[in-house]
Amino acid sequence: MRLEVFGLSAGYGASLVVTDLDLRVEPGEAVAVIGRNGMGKTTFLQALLGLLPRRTGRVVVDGCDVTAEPTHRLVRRGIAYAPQEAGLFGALTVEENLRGGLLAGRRGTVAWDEALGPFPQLAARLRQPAGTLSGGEQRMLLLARALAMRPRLLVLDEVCDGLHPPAVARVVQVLREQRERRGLSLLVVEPNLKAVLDLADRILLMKRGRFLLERSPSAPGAREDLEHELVFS
Amino acid sequence: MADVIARGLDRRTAVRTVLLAVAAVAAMLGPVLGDRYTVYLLTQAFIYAALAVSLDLVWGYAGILDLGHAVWFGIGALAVGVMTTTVGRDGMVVAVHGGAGTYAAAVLLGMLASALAAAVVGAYCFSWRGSTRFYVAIVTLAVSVVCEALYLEQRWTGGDNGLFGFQLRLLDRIAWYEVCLALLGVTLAVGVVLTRSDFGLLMRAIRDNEARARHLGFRVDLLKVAILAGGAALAALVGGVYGAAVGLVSSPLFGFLFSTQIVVWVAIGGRGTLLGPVLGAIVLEFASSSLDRSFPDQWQLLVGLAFVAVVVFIPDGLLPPLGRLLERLLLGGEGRRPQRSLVPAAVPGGTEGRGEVVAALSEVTFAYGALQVLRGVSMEVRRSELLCLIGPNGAGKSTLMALIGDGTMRHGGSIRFQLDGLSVHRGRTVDHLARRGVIRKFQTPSLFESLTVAETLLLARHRGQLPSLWRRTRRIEVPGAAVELCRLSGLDRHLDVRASALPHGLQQALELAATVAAWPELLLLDEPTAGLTAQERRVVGEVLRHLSREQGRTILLIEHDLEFVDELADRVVVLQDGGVLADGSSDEIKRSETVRRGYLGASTPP
Amino acid sequence: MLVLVVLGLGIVLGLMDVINLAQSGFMAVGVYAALTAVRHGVEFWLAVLIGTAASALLGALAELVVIRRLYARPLDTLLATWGISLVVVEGIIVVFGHGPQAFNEPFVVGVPVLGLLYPAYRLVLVAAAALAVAVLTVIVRFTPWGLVARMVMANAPLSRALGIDVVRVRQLTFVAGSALAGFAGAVLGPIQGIDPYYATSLVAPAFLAVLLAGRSLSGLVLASVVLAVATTVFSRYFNPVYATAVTVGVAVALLRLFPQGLTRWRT
Repeated sequence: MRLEVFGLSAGYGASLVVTDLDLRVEPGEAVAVIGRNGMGKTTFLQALLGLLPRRTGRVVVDGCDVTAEPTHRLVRRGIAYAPQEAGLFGALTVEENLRGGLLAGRRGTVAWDEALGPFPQLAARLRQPAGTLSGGEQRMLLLARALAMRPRLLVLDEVCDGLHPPAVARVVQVLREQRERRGLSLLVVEPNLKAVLDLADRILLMKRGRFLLERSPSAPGAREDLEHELVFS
Repeated sequence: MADVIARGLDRRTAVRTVLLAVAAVAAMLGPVLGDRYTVYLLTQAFIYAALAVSLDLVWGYAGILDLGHAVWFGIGALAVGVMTTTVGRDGMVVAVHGGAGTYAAAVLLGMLASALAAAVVGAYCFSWRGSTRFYVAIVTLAVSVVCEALYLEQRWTGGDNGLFGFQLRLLDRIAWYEVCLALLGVTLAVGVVLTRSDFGLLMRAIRDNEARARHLGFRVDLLKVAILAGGAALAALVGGVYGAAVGLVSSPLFGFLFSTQIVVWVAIGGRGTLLGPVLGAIVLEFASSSLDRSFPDQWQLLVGLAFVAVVVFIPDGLLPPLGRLLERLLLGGEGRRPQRSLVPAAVPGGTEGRGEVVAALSEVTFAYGALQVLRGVSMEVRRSELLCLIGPNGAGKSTLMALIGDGTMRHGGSIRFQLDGLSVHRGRTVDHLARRGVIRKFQTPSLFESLTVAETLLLARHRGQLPSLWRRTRRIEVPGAAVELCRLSGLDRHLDVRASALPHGLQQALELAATVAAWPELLLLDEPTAGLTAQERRVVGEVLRHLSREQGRTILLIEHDLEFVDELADRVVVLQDGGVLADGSSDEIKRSETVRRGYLGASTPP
Repeated sequence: MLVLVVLGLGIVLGLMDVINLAQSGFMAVGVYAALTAVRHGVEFWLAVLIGTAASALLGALAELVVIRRLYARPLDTLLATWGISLVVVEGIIVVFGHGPQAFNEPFVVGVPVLGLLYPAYRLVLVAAAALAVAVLTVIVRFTPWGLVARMVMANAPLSRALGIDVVRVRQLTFVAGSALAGFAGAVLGPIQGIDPYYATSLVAPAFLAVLLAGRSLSGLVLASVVLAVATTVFSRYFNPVYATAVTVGVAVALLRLFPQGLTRWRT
């Protein structure tokens, strides 16, 4: 899926949290947005998807201007979103959470086995309420549900948050596989710089609601530049 | 310019006074001008209008949706009935007795009984943590339904027939008209004085943002019970006069249909305006009684539809928009004279005791259900220092701050204070801690929508002390730092602007100013620079530095803006995953390897 | 007793995030529409269907004009839905007058139960109520529609982010709820006194059932059943009037003990 964003601004009340943002994700590309907390990354994603009112800006999907579309219809074009907070129905079971995602999947849904395949620890906990899962398992469930929707664009907000290094590596591996197999586009917000360096084709650094830097992980000095800005600015 | 405004003021008050005088005179001349039936209708209408005022005070101004208001009214009427009648064995009234004195005593007793009953209901509704706005609505509705049903089962209430024939015949029809008009006048006067006083501001604050009122130290639960009881007493007074005038009390007077009527009058007239409900009650009752002969049921249907329409489309009621229209026509939209001003007041402050421990946290743990948010946080907060709390999202910073300000949240470990008059934390409510000087400023502005800047600061300055029930303070004394903050941020040019009408930057400034006006001992700030421009951030920084260095206030703040932290902090504590990652000066933190790793993700190669 | 159970079910679907007090109004519409149909010679069960449809129609109208605009203002929803039920009462008075009405049970047959002759119609109603509870539980727990309804009820923005048309779901469930209320009203017509204030005495217990339910559908069913049982039990030992009072008291006390609702589990 090709996603293009032009001049997106959004905020709460009278203030703007993100201002005049442009973004492009090509089919099969993985774009990462990094930056410290409070810089507007989640606001950006939510405004992009229409979960937050956009003050200005246009969103174009595969050449189609979808700015006026309500969120649920935009999502049905093939976008799966795993939010940073309140992403699961805590009172519903793991199984129900997964099925909930499948309900809106486009182009049919994934077979049950295929959905759970990369996540064996979830298969053991199908009947548990999602709220009783550990933080890491909840992230896995979020990812599983998102993938089960057979999306063309996967939008992840801090999916590696609070995961131990082996779990992070697993997530990165799963995402890589999905990209290769299905040509999935990725738009991730991620504080974990190492994971992002492993996964992304392009990295954008956000500061106070604007994109400050753009680097490709393979470019020389990219990591140092990004680290410096992250910690010291 | 000044005299133009002065002339404007004169015109506004002049117009208001004239209108009021005309209405009062016309009303008093009613018996002369109108026929018997009209006089009778108006007498009833005045009673209902006074009742509407009592509900408006409780609901329109304090936000307590009392769906059983008829019960308090009924108790008033019943008190008069019971004390002046004797009920025979078959439940019918056999004798009426008592002079004017008995009636007066009965009215007073009714007021007392009503206030007590309302206090019990209020205490039940408001005194527990999970209470919501719905709860009181439903409980009062239930009380109304139950009372109406129970009335029929008792003998002393007259049962099915109720009590009748006990009107005070000392006064004739016309005298009763004037008495009821006077009752309306008195009720309105009480309402006006109360709502224009400083206490009236507190009522509206409780309606607009109860949590914030608590955080400023006000005993909100107690206040709500008092307000409900007060409104009930007023309603009972009206009920007592009704009983003395009409001499009838029966079960429908307690029932939920009548309660609904009152709510309809207030909603359509305009909640929170006093005059709106009066007009609503009079107009609707008058119209419905007049139309009773021609289209009684169609009229009620129309009223019902109007009620729904008003609630959905014009929730403020009909008076405010009409009033604004009238104002524009008569006064041409002139400016208002400045209502209030700020005056710097002397406050205790100073840098002695700098460095002493003010708050000590030891192995504090906290969990939301199954989610462990804080895993053993130990740190100290020292007097007059500016301590910054930083760390990634989900590290538990906001939770920790919320915990410090609220001793009723269950946590492990211990938190001890060393503030003047406060050492224990556990179990202390938010308002208790606030009264002792632990004041928290929220991340997103959490203000009182309908209160102006000056009014918000006035309430903040009280820090939980009860404001005057009749006085309307115009020159508000606040700490010099708050005045200075208003000047620097530009708030001083908006003193009479409602909080909801302020731009975001000024709302944040007001948030901070209110917190400062409360003159905290320990100031808890959650992301004070979120969403601010560079200029605004500088102002905040200046104020905080002044408060800490020169005024000796202790400040604990959560921030993501590391530049800001660098400039201001005496000490920095880094939280991650619910635990303290590092604790030291700003320079030490910047150089720390653990911190860099924590921020950048695990296992970064050197 | 049946009334509360069936009404509870009606509330179940009409709920979503809305404190809906208009259910008694929908019940009244159902019974009066059925009544009119029966008066015109329509067969009983068809008349019940007509009643159900009439309520559904009114529900759709109410949702469109009123409810949809008030999702962000819960207290005003309470008032507005209350207003709707009053409008219904007044509307009925305008059309049918104040007096009581009646229509007969479809079959007047006695069935011996435990030595007493029990009217068959009532037994049918009991069975139907039980069946309705069962069917509804199944739908809510095991079908995709039930899942969608539960998701929207638990977290509407998240549901939207998953591609669910929240507006449509709320509309459909509200209409379904009003239809169910209409059905309940119509079906109870023969054994309840029919007057313009039909079912308004249920408003208070209905309120309480809604609060006792917390934010879960199963909680609502449980709450309705609990209150229904309480009323029946108390009616046996007390004067029915006192029974209502006691039930209300019990409900209010229960709410104090279970502030999040009877089923206690929250997201």
